[in-house]
Amino acid sequence: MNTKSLKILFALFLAFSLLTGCDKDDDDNQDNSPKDVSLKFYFNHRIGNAQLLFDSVAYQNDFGNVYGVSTLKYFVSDFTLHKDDGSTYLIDEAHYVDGRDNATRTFTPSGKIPAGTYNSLTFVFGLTEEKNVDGTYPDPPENQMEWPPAMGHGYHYMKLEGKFEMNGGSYENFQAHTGASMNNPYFIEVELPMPLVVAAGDEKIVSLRMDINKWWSSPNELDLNEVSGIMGNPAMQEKLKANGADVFSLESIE
Amino acid sequence: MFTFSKNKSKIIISEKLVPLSRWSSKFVKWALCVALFLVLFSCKEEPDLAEPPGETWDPQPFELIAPDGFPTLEIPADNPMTVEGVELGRMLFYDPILSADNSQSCASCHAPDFSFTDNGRQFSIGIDGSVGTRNSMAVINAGWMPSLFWDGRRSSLEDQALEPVPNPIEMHQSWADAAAKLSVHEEYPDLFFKAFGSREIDSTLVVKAISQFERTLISSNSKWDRYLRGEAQLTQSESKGFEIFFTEKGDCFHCHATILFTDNLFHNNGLDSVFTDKGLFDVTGNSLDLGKFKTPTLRNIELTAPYMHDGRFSTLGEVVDFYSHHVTYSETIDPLMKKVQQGGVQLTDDEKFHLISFLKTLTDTTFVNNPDYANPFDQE
Repeated sequence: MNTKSLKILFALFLAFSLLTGCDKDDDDNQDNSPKDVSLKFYFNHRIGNAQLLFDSVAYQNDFGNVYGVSTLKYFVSDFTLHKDDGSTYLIDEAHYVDGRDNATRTFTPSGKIPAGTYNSLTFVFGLTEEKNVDGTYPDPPENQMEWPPAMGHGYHYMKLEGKFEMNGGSYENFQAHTGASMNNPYFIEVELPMPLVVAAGDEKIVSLRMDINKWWSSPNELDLNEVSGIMGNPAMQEKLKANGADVFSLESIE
Repeated sequence: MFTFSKNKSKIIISEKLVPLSRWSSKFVKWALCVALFLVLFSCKEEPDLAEPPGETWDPQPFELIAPDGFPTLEIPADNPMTVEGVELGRMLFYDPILSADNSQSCASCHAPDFSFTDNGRQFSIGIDGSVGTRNSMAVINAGWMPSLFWDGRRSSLEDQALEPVPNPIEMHQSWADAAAKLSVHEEYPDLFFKAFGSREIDSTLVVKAISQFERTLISSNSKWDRYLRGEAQLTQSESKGFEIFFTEKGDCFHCHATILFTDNLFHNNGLDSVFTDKGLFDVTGNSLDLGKFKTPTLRNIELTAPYMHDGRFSTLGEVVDFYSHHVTYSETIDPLMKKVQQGGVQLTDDEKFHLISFLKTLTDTTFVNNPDYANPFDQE
């Protein structure tokens, strides 16, 4: 090999070293174990048949209130997949949703979902007692869901706020704030039939729909005049818990 | 720690060191020159500096300890805290050199005795006698503020600090003039070198230093904090006020949220039905933001009168009266405001008294009197 060739080779070697030498080597951090199923949950918000449009006073509930929504923030937790044989797979996580923030409207579990045939999905609307612990979320935006110890503990399960028309053309605000009011765990256990067959390598998005009007209807028809300052009101928390059992439905699996 | 020393990289090229029989010495010299170039310039962050031979830049990291329960403190990657940076920032904060006629410093309108607000003034007065339109905001636990100014138009302390110096109704000095004055000062060039490795002073380095100092202004030792730590007892009135504050009786906690006593968000709290100051709207242009202003912290609220973005209320009593009876509807009023048609939360006189008792437990005299936050020029 002549000197010229050596120079070229050496220059190439140095160029390669320069280009690659200062990068962090993160190969060691890669997870090379087989991933089963990529399952994501998407949260869609509607009022009756209409897509929720924030700040639009254009919706009507069963009681007859004409209202709009300005804030919809909530926690969901403990998503569990069920099989025919009774076995379950628990996703032991909580997720915060802000209806105005699209990034939060998709929940991507950090763990792997085993392939298999599932027949239903259950999850907790709000936080389970184990997860509803003061100080769990020190940072925003979740820390803004804190539920003061003077009225219980932990975090708001939901902040659903807006305004509604009053007689004479004026408006009043409502705040459907649910949580462990006076330390009673009013979280809601949601059950949805969900036939799901997933094989290793599949990527699925499960879209869940919240119908906001159902918070004010069966079994307890509510006038939004009643839904204000309810954080220390166990009777109203009970009513919302009962109404909340069917606010979610399965929209699609894609 | 980020250290820099030009003396660390010494490579000697000598033919005696390369007895490689098949390679010509000419090639080896060439290759080693290339290698030397690469070693010196490839992997190091090289500050742009005018450094005399033998001088080293070796700032000491400033260990900022966030109090228990506080959110994670985000420090910009391009402005790490150093002892030298904080000390320089403190000097710049208190030095009137940043104003055109050397009459005003940051501290003129952000005085420590008033929790870094403007001495009880409704509006601050600039060096030319111009009067502002918004009340000076407290610089307290500022490191946890994701947005600055009442309308949130800046998203970092560094960006915030760029504004008052050239503002014609404030310090009214161009950054070029400010930098020129600092550059010929007998001490500042050396202090900037110690903090940033550069004597070339510009607005970027000035605001970095000021921001480093501002991030140290942490309040977490009020009576309320000591009560949470089991070190103090609340009086009966303070306890009643605590109940009013943290329940929907007073419903203060939703906006004055978390241990910071602010949600750092923007609300129309029902002050007006028509807006002369449009607040957040001026930044976003969104009609839904009309009349929204940033929630101020209530820490040290006793010291930061007058109140609201326009300083319209002189006392806490007036503030509590407003939230009880004088809340006004407008289209963008926050949905958290309760009993709007009745004018507010309807506290009784006794309840107002107790609530104010509680608010005064948020006063942190150790913050106000902290010698590390004081005017360094007074101590000389």
